[in-house]
Amino acid sequence: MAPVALRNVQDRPSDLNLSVQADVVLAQIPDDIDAVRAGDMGLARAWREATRAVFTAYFARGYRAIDFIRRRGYVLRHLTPDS
Amino acid sequence: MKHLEIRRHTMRHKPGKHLTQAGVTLARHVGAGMGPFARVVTSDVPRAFETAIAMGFAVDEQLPELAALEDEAVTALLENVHTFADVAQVARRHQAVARRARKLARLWTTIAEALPEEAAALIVTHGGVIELGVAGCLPDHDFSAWGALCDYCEGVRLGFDGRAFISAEPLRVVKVEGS
Repeated sequence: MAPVALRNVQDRPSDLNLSVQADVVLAQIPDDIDAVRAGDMGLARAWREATRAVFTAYFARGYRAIDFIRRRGYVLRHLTPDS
Repeated sequence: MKHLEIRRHTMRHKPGKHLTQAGVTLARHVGAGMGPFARVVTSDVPRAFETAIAMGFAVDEQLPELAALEDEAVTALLENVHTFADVAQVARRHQAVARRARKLARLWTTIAEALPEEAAALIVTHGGVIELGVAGCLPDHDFSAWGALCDYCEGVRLGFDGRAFISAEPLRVVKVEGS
């Protein structure tokens, strides 16, 4: 499995790592963000802040989201200008 | 001048919540020619959030007000429209539609007012919401040359002079292979 920049541990954001060095990086998300939002707005906000941190950092380093995998998360790949 | 770029989300797995691979490809293609943005706002629906991410922009805020037309009567009145001009006409004829259009315009004005000078914000939302919001921002505008409703990743770019929206242009997408 690809290294993980953000983990989903029992629907809570965990192990935020903004400096993974790999071609492919995984950012995990809750299985059902709507359920999280309905049950705990504070937790939903924490997820948005964590994902914002991940995407801001990795996009700035040349990564782009190339896939969204149900129950696994977002797949970020480091792209060259031509890819 | 400040700008708002308001885009429709890309394709998803219906009836699922998440994007298709073709949707991701289209959003990446469109996003490569967009930005920079001082602020990124989406509806709270996963496909809108994921579209911004696939376009290459981290999301600052998710607003449920951007998710739907909110009112069954408004949705019904807009069910059989096909163009921007149709939406504007329905908004001029029906109070409930006009109220929703003005509410969206107020929300977009608030987002534009909070921007630094010369900055732009990206809003990713849904079909119907875009066209109605534009009609609310520019109630006297002639939309007869604007053509069809927004397809995936299409939208509108609005210019804001600090007090009101004073310019608008439709943003169309030339489809790429695989999208």
